[in-house]
Amino acid sequence: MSKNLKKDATTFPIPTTTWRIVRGNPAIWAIFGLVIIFSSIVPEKFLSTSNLVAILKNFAVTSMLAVGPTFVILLGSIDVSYMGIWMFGGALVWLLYPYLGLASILIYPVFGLLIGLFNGIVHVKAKIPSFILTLAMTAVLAFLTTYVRNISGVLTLTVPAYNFLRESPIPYLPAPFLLALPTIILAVFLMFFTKLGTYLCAIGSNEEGAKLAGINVEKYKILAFMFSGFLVGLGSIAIFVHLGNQTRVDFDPSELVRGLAAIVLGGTPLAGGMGGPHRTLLGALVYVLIFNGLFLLPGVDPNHLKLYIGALLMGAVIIASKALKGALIT
Amino acid sequence: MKEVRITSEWAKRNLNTIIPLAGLILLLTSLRIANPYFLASWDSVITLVYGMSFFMIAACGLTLVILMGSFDFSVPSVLKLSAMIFAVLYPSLGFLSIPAALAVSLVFGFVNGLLLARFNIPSFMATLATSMVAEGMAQVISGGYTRMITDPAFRAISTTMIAGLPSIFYWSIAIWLISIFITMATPYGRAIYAIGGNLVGARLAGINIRLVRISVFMICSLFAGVSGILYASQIQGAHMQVGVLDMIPLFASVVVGGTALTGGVGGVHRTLLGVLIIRWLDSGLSMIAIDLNIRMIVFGLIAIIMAILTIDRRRIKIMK
Repeated sequence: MSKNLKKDATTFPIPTTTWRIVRGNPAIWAIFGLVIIFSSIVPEKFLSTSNLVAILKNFAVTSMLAVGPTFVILLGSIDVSYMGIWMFGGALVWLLYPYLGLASILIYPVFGLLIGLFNGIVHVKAKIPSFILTLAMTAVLAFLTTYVRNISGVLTLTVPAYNFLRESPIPYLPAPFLLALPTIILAVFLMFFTKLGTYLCAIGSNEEGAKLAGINVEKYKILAFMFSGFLVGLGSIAIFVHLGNQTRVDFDPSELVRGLAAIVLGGTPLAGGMGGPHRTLLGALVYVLIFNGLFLLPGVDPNHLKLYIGALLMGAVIIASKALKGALIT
Repeated sequence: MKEVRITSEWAKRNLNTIIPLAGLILLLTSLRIANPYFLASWDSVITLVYGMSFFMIAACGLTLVILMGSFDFSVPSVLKLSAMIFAVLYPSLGFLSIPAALAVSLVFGFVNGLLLARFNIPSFMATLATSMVAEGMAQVISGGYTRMITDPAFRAISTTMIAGLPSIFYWSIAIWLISIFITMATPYGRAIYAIGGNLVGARLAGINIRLVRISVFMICSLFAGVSGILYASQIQGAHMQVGVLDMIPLFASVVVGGTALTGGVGGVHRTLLGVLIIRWLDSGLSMIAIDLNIRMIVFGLIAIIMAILTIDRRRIKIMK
């Protein structure tokens, strides 16, 4: 498997045939395997229409948290500010609704872009490890959201005016999934049809080499953080609508794991240099299928959720660590 | 004798000592001005000692890991799990539950170290996964309920008064001194600094990197476990909120002390300053009725600013 992955990194990342796509993305095997396993054990529950719609909704939420940060992971850095952008962005929409009306939902991508720009500039210029920087950013924004909720004296930061977004024009395709499509298309476009994807892979696999090849490394690093923030902001609209036109107001690190797990399960190694948002989409589907199917099984206690999430993440990073051989890991 | 001249170059070199000290003095004076009752009586000193001691023990372990250039996300979760095991098993096992809690903590440290050293997984990712497992285990063994232990022997571990101060204070000072001894006076401590300073160089110098990394993570989790046990004894039991809000302040106190995130710079002796600053700031801000969320935001910002100031950029070519 690692041999194929290596080949993937050195050649242009578009696979030409179906077989190459399947061979290069082990997540596809996992998806087929999970669907077969769950539909043979609990077919009437797993294959019901409502469950399939729920899978689509959860897929939209998980992939929206993970698609943007994939660009930063390509660099070998990491961006966990998505929790903060999602949470505080929602608070901003709630705060600005009385002034801007329906247009206030557009604050989400703008806010994401600004936070991404800030992260990128601080990471590149001040040289702080990106994980620590973005983790502190997430914590600051998340606690700020709780603070806004507390001082405004309401229980949830709900904006009922966006209820029209929750109705899907197409039957069986839930609204959050449709709202997630622009982000997915934009991410895949950036990866395959612009220089950005190729350059980010180049920087991630060998930063010195990329610099010598004439790539403006600092600029592309900042761009990666910016697009990460922008895509998370854009995608957060789907999560906002999914949660009933409100945002989360309490910080829970297990949500942080959701995005990272989707990226790692999809096959973008944490050392960077290969992979991309298309793989993260597959990883998000794997993650959603595992937890959807798991709790349909008889005798599985939802109280043990965190135990399963931790075990899954550990397994995923161990499998993905094959690609990290030789890298200096702290 | 070498002459010490206070120049901008000297100030720049010793920035990570000057800032914490100046911050501490500034903090003390401003807290006294804002609230004249701050540290005015011996009772308030004891309250502060209770707030700082368990925190100090966990921070010592985290400092060792950060000195090595790694990061341990699982400290608060292991702390919670160890407190929970101690409180849940105490009615049936008595004080034999202490070795049980410490053994589980050591296993978590071993897994953290193994994931980093053997499987080459970035430590924050590995410890994020194990922290989830620890949280899940705490949830499973307690069923989510608060465990209260009213046995006076249980409380005596932390709250026996010796020379006017509770025993948890002496535990934390002992752990602090042991950590200083390990890092300052043993070849093992030199190896920790070497790995943090230059991984490749340390490997070429013949240091068994895998062994040192695994053992440091085990020490860190052991300290977290000790901290959990003492904290459970201090608060008369354990509940699911133990340690939930501790990650950001813990991390901030290590960085504020002057230990650089990239490893190799700083030390456990500095962490005392960081813990004093962060806990005094915490109690000072809550005395003037600042919201908990705002306090957390302040700690997050302090951590980022101090991280920017303490990292030695001349050594680092590529920052991921």
